[in-house]
Amino acid sequence: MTASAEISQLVVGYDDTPVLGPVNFKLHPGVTALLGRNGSGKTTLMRTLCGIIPALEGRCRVLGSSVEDGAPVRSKVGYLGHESALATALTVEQNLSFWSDIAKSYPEATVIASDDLVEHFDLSALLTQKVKKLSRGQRQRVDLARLAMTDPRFVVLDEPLSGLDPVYAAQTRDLLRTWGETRTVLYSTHSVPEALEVARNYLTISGFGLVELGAGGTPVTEAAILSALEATK
Amino acid sequence: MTKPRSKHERSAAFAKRAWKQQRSTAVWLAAIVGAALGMVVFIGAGEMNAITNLSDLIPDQQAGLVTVHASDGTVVSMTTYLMTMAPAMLGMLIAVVATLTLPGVVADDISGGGIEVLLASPIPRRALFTAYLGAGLLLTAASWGVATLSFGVAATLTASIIGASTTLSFAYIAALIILPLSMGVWSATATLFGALLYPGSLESKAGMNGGPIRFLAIFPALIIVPALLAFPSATLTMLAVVLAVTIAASVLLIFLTARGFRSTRVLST
Repeated sequence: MTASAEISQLVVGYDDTPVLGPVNFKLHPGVTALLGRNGSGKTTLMRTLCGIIPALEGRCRVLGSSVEDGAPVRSKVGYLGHESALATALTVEQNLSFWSDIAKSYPEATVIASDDLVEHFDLSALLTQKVKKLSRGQRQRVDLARLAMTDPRFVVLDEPLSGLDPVYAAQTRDLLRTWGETRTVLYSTHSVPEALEVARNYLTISGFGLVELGAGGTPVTEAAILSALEATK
Repeated sequence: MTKPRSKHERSAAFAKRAWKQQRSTAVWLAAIVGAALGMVVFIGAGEMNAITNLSDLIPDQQAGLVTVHASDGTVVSMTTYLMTMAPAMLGMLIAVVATLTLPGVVADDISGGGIEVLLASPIPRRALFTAYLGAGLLLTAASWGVATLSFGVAATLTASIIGASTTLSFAYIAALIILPLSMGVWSATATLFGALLYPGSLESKAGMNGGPIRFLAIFPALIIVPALLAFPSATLTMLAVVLAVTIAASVLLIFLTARGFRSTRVLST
């Protein structure tokens, strides 16, 4: 199977201070869970994979291309941060309009119409509401619609399930599984049972390195993931 | 699915969003302070115009920038003095409005996840900075236009109500346009410099009147009044110097901000 992301000897961090690495791994279509303890470098690694921050060392290729500043391949990358990308003083409709205008300026842009997203993510009742009035789960739904707008092939989500009520969490887990059928999805989480339910592959940050679990269809247990996590710095 | 549009529309999207986010502050605050200043210069002097030795108390008004006459034709010195200072005061107000509105243009993106998504997009860093700058300058230009217009309307109406007449020189009209605009542009670029390179610098700190970047943004406006008073006979020259210095400093700051704009500066770990 062709890899969607190929990472070799990658060292990630901020301002020349390494947080994690060197690491080597490949990502394939499907859902991969990234697990690690607080401060282990999950967010830093995901930011580097998307080109948000530069790698300190090593190579990172996504969908066959480097993710350097301005790279066209980023049109195919979708990122959901821990905080929503929505302007709190604006309405949901105004936010979607802004991100739609931005997405249309991408090279090789594929932009799904806002009306379709509103229907798919059940946002019609929220359209005229200001984002600051929305709950965490409602914001998450709008932000996922924003992410889906460009029909990304490589999707990276930073703790998308944290702080959601059980209903929104179940809907989001279903969405991740659906996306995983046709795309490469990498998401971070602190919940081992949830990761076992949603993902097929697992990257566990262990010390300054990564342990890959589940590759080749090998069954993975909670004990195996916890064992890898315990070695974390 | 829709076809890709011109990348030039990206800047328009930023400007449109900034306008929706900050228009009430940028327009209404500018309108209120401009109108208030227009009224205050004519009615603020009150009985002080009647003081006989006023010429010993305030700077010489013979530079001929502007002269205000009462209904009986006599020159009203204190009102003339306030009117002379109005362009500098308007400049300071525009600078303050810029420091209040522009952080909001980028604050949501930086404190939320917007900046991460923008940095993950195929938009080059430089183009992102240009889009923020364009949005900031648009808001500042709107504030300047509204404040100057409301000042002019309020001053004209107030003067006609109290029966005063005003003689404006070319230098005064130039000052009324140049000072607020140049102070606004400087304040906008300084505020964006702080927001994008040193986000923490815009946080309020005790004794710094809203943070060091805000102080930097309004500092030129603070020194304009004494500068104009120190060289009353060379107003046009002073205006040219002010314009040249603020434009050069703004261009330098834009260059430094574009060069120093790094993802690691605006992202918390």
